[in-house]
Amino acid sequence: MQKDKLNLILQELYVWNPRLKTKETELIELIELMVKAKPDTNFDMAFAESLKKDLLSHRILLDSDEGLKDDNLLINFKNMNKKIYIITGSLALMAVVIFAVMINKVPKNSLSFINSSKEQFVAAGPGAFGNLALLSPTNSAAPQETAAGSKTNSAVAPTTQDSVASVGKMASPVLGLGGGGGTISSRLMMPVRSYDYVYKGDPLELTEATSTVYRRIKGDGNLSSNLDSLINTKTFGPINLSAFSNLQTGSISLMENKKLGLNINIDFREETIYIGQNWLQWQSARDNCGDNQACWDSYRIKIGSIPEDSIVIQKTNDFLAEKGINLDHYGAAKVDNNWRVNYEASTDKANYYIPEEVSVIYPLVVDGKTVYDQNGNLDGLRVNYNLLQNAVSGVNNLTSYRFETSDYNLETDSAKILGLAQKGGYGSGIFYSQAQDKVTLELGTPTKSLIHFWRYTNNVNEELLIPALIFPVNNPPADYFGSKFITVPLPQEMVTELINNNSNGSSGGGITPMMR
Amino acid sequence: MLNHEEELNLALKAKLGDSDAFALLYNANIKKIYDFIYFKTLNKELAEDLTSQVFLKVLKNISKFKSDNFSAWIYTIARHTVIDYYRSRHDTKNIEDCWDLKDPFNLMDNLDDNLNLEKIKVAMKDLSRSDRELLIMRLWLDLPFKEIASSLDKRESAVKVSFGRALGRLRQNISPVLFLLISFSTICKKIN
Repeated sequence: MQKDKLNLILQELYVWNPRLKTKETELIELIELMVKAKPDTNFDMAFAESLKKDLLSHRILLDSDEGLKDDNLLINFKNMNKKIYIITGSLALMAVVIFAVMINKVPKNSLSFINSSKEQFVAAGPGAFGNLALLSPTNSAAPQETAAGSKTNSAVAPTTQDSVASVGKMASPVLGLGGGGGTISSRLMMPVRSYDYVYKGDPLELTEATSTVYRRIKGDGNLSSNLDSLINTKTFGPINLSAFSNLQTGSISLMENKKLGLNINIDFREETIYIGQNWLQWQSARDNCGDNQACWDSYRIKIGSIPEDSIVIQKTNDFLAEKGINLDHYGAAKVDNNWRVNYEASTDKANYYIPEEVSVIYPLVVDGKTVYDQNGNLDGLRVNYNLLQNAVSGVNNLTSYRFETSDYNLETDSAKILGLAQKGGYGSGIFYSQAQDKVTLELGTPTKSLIHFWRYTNNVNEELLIPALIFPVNNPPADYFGSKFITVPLPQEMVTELINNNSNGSSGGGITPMMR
Repeated sequence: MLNHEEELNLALKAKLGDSDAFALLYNANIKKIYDFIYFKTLNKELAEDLTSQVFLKVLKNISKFKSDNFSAWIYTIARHTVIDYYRSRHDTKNIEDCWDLKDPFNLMDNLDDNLNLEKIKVAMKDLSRSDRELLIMRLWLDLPFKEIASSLDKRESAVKVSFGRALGRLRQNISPVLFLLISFSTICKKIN
């Protein structure tokens, strides 16, 4: 022991009890014996760093009053009903343990995959995402909603009056575009009208030779590792999970056990959260009315009872704020009123089935650019509001906000771009190659923005944001059910592929895709 | 090393969600807490496991931190984590660390290499937990009395008094023959 330290201890003892000085030799021997007996603790810096990483790798921040905040997560579960149960398995113990972890590791206030402490844009080399020509209309489609408990409303917008009538038969319709995918029923594909487009906008100058393509980063394992480490060491009921190797949490499902409760499905690999109705807690006409037509009628929405857009948006804003869903990277909310086109076109408005949910979209903004879907509609967070119950019934497309970026060569030949646009742009002619009527519509000056594409490659579902031009359709007729926008992606290899497809006859020459 | 005010300031920042502040607190305390736990368990793997639990508890509960003494708070968590571990694994409710076990050293990593510990282990075992902890904190963790007082949330003068008394009891617990040998050895060294 260092002499000065020993002396310090002794002096401190003498201050307390000066008589101890008479036993100084004995004290020194005792203290030195103790110090020499000190075991080597084998402190391992690797352990310290690993633990620190575990604690902080999820960018766990500390909440102001109730525990952990994890910006990896999107939502404030504490503002959900406390009686949330995990339904991933039937084992109650597992549910309790995971629930405890979740509740303790989510924030009270704004939670989001969006996190300032982690780089949101990671540069990759030019052309890093491979050949974009693979993003042909037949290869690229939004994945179907697969979350457990989802009764997500169809993304199909009817295209004729007859199909409008059939909407009333759909299981769970939603006003507007619905959320999260859907299927196209052949019953909705009615006699088709072909549209030709003529560009009437300003002269098109394409001077940008390269531009950024974005690929969403997801599934890096950070989000679930807390759960993984917990699960990997546990025995749940009849099974010893620690006997399995490298277990990772793919997804979990939680549900609010209360009236109008919600399901929360978290997909750790996709880094998405889907919120939908816990159907056990939402009463419907189907549950209550039997053969009583008056009862069924009481569940129907009247056109006059639909609230103003601003009121609906306020309701959804309040919901998102309460649940801690961060809107930093979304633009101004807009109610999806496309359904009104169908309603206005209906010849039997009294019997027109108005879906009971209205959809509010918060457009995603990446690098200052608004993101659209492949038909030029706003793409982003979608919140469904149930008009019968005056409650939010679902949230779709809640995703991480981290992207790899890569530069791609853009097409600068405006003639090629306009040629594609005038043939209906991306996705034209998917459904029909023969049209019964032909109508010519005008295209206005396009805006340049990003279009959301999916690509399934190497067993991975990739999401890409591609620079594209979005042309507005200037003079849609009253009975026009086609897209109000024509989109043309700008990467050179996609343009070449689309032109080749057209010349090979796979494009029908201006048939508007029916899927919106 | 952080002083009391710096540590408190970081704790308050961490409480408000500052992860950098938490990281600094972690850096300042990880070895101290690990060593503290090791001296109560004498087993590396167990010490690491319990240390992990301590910092997870700190993380989970920092938002509830209301004290003006972070050091006392984290040592309390560490102390209780060790106690909980032993009490959950043994029938008796009186066990607070490995020294209370019938044979505290059968799990020890490097007993064979530590002849000095061999000399005092029985004497240490016979001390009260608080005496033992005080000696460990001052002589093994090398914490100043001021910090020990802070971590125990006691007055510094009271800690010094307790330390002196703990030394006295340790002396009493060491067998007279052994202490004679130790003294003789010390005298020989001085002569040489």
